[in-house]
Amino acid sequence: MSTTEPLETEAATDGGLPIPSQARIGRFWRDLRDSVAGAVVGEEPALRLLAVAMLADGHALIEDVPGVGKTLLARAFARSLGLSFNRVQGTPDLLPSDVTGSSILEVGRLRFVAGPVFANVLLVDEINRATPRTQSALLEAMQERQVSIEGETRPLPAPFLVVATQNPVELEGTFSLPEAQLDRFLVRVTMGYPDRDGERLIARRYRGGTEPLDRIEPIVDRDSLLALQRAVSEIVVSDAVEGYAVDLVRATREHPDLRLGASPRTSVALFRSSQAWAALAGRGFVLPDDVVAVARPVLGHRLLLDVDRLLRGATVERVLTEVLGSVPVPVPASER
Amino acid sequence: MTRAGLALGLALVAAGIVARTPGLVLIGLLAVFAVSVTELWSRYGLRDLRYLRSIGRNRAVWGDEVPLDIAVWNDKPLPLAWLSIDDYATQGAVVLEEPLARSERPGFTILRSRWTVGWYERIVRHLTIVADHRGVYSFGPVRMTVADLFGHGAATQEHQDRGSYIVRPRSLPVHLASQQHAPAGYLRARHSLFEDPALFAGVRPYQPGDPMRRVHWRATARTGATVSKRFDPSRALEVLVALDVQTLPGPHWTLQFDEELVESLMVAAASLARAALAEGASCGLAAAAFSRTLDRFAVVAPRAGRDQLASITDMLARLSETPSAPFEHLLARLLQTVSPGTTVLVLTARDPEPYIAALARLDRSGCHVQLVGLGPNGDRAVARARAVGLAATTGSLTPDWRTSDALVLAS
Repeated sequence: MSTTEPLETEAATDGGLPIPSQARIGRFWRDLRDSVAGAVVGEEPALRLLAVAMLADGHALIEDVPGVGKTLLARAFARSLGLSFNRVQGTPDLLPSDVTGSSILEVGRLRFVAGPVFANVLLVDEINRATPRTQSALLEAMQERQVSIEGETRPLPAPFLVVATQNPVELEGTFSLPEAQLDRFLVRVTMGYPDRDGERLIARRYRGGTEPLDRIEPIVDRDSLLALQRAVSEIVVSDAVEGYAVDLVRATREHPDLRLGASPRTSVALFRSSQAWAALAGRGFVLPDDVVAVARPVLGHRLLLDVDRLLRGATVERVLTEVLGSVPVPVPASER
Repeated sequence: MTRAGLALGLALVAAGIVARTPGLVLIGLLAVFAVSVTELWSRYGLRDLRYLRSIGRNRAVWGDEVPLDIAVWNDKPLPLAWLSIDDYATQGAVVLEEPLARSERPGFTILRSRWTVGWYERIVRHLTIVADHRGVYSFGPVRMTVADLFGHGAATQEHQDRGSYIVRPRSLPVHLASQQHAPAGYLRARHSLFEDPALFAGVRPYQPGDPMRRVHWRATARTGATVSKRFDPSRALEVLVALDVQTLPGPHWTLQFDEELVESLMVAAASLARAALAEGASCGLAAAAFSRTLDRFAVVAPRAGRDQLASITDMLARLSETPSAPFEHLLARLLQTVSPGTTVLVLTARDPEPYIAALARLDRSGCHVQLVGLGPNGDRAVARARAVGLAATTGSLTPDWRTSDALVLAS
């Protein structure tokens, strides 16, 4: 779909903002998928996680090898949402003020020049090439949705989504994101290589010399997106499923291969991501399957392996498999 | 052979009938039966027969035990009275329950298993790999041989079914005899030596010896007391462990080495890297040794982060015991590639006389060169380095690299 017509919404229910039904969220997902598919081939799982991050009011970290389309996916996603979009390229000489903005002296007065962080969608490309100081400047923005510049706190526009990319292969001259920063990302997204047909399609698209991104039109406007976020926050989570999500998080703290398990913030992240995942599937309630589906992207980057276990071949992936296998999945009484 | 045997058996049967000699008929029938049996196992014995090998994990640290499960699955109605499976393993691999046999292929040993497998039967053996040598090990290819009821080899087949694991060296805590012997780069990083002037962290009272440019004049004027600027430690701190794998004097190409010293160097290198990374430094590794690639130098670029120790110990596991090039050639390369300000920890177990000039050159280029001497020649190495003005400490793994619980650095 390539239309600028905003999603239709239903009657106002809260604070004057209209809240769309689950069917509207389902339609949003279909439109988004079709729109992004005009530029990005075969990355539906990654796109779905970006949508989860947006609907759950979180941030996303895209991590994969060079050339698989991380930046393209982020740009196509932002363009489809029809929100203000800025991009920052992570480099060692990038200063915090290059991200947040600063005041300049103009005709005897200081005038604030907003940095790229003042946008609905901020793409931080190769975030691990920026220095820790600049990475830290993003912390407040990501968590508090505001930045403090020269003693003044300035709120960021809503919705606010940081999509950061990093390359796990070329590591020379990079600064690993500290655990505190990683914890701010709701999901970590990996993409992988396209299959043979997908790769042929990519080659064909770029053969003509046209930019596929130019074909993408916004599918939603800002108000509709805020309404979608509110609708997602009202997706029903039963006590049993809620307990399951918490048990998964707690199980990571007891796993012998981990030095640091998931934080209580992770429970919140898992909870919200599951709601968004269920909403994208067109449901008004969360199933344990939704929790399992988002467990790896939500938990994976928040776990810290014990060094001695790491040297013995332990991997976060294996830990998560064991955790998911060890925590009993809640079963409805009728199926017991 | 089979056709000839069958023809002979049938001929004997025919001759026995013609001659009305039951004994000859019986011998002929037995011959036909024997040939048919051999043919049956030869043709169908290896069909629907699977060998599965599962190595518990693909990374181990020296001294670990790794589960190894091997299984055969005979998925057909024909039982196998005698099945032999030769799983080729890299020389040096050790399986606790089963001594590995010698192989006709150079560089390999054989994990040999003999089984009797019924129809549709699956048998699993639980074995244990002992990681008692640093290195990269693989299992495979696999050669399967079935024999008939009489024990004659009926058919053989080879599969390229491979699996591998890496045995990393131990990495121990680093203990210091005193702070004075701390290799610069990671242990002093929290103090003034590696402060980053871009990371202003406040002021502190002036201390004698503070340079004038460090005094915060505005704050001094405001408070009425002299105060100096305070900076956070540099986040871009880099440490490179330069490992001299040559353990005996003489040219590098003699292919002779002292195994105990080589393994001590590996453990010391892993320990220093672990300590540096734990301090938040970026750490890398460089060695003039073969690492199963075409490159003469083994290099892991400095980087901080949780996976870097795994990369460094993986490289240490791959390193040959003998040098691939003179160590001074590696130092000359480092001179061109290492960023100024990097701490180069040179780890050696021999007299560094052949490359001491290269070390001094590297130090003058802006790197902080520190030598760590190990083993019986450690003291001599330290004295040689200090004679040209380089910082140096001795390192010891007591009683040896296998049982030591720390790398101790002292003068």
